[in-house]
Amino acid sequence: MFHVEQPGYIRQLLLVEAAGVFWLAAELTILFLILVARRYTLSLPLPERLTLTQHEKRRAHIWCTAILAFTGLLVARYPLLGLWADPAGSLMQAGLPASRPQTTVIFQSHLLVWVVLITSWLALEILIVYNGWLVFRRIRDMLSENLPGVCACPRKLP
Amino acid sequence: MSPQASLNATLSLRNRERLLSAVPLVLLLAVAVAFAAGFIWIPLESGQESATGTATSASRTDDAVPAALYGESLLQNAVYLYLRLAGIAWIVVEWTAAIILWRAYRMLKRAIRQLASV
Repeated sequence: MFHVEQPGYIRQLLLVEAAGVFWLAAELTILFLILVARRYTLSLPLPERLTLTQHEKRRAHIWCTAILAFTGLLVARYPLLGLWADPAGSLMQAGLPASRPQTTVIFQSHLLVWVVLITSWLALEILIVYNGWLVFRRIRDMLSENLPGVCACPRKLP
Repeated sequence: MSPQASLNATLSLRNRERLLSAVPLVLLLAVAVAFAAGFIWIPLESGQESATGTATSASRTDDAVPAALYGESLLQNAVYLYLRLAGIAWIVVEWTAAIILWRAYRMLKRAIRQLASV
């Protein structure tokens, strides 16, 4: 929990949010790779090389742009609220007077951002696990056809 | 064995296998809930009551963020409760991923062994 009197309070908020966005980008990257792997394993016959399709490249560009825009909005709201233009020495040093409306907004918006990030991580993680499970099943089926007994729990029971 | 008995045995085996495959997940869920039940009573901060207690925004003003920053404490508690529940769900999902990865690892290991022995 942050302390208002602690120097660098706003900086800590920014650091936490930046780490959250980085994590979000990492989750999106993992999901993208899983989806590419799923598409690859569903291709018959299997291509010799894994190459991205035009659709996948376009989707990657769109998501990169979205992440950059989201990051820009997160960071831009601090100067937009006038927190860095405080002539009294800024919140990083002097603490936050509770009467400042910007302070309330910035803290509550931080909480809102955190809720959005947590929800996004969870949703992405569920998608990653679900698609990863499908890829796992696909690989298991492919291996079972060529290497009988490779799976501990064969799907086709006697 | 009659065909019907054979079918029953097969179905029984399949159900048993499904049941057994669900055991790790049920255990995992139980551990996660137990962990969360303990975790949720840990005070968020020294000198502060737990999230499920009667913590009010006024009790936080001594050494933490002023009450005005929190607004309605009811909404704040709801948000923190949501975050904790989401954290529990996250643990379950991550453990599911770990189990799938472990199974994939074992499967590939067996496949490599078989290929090496051919």
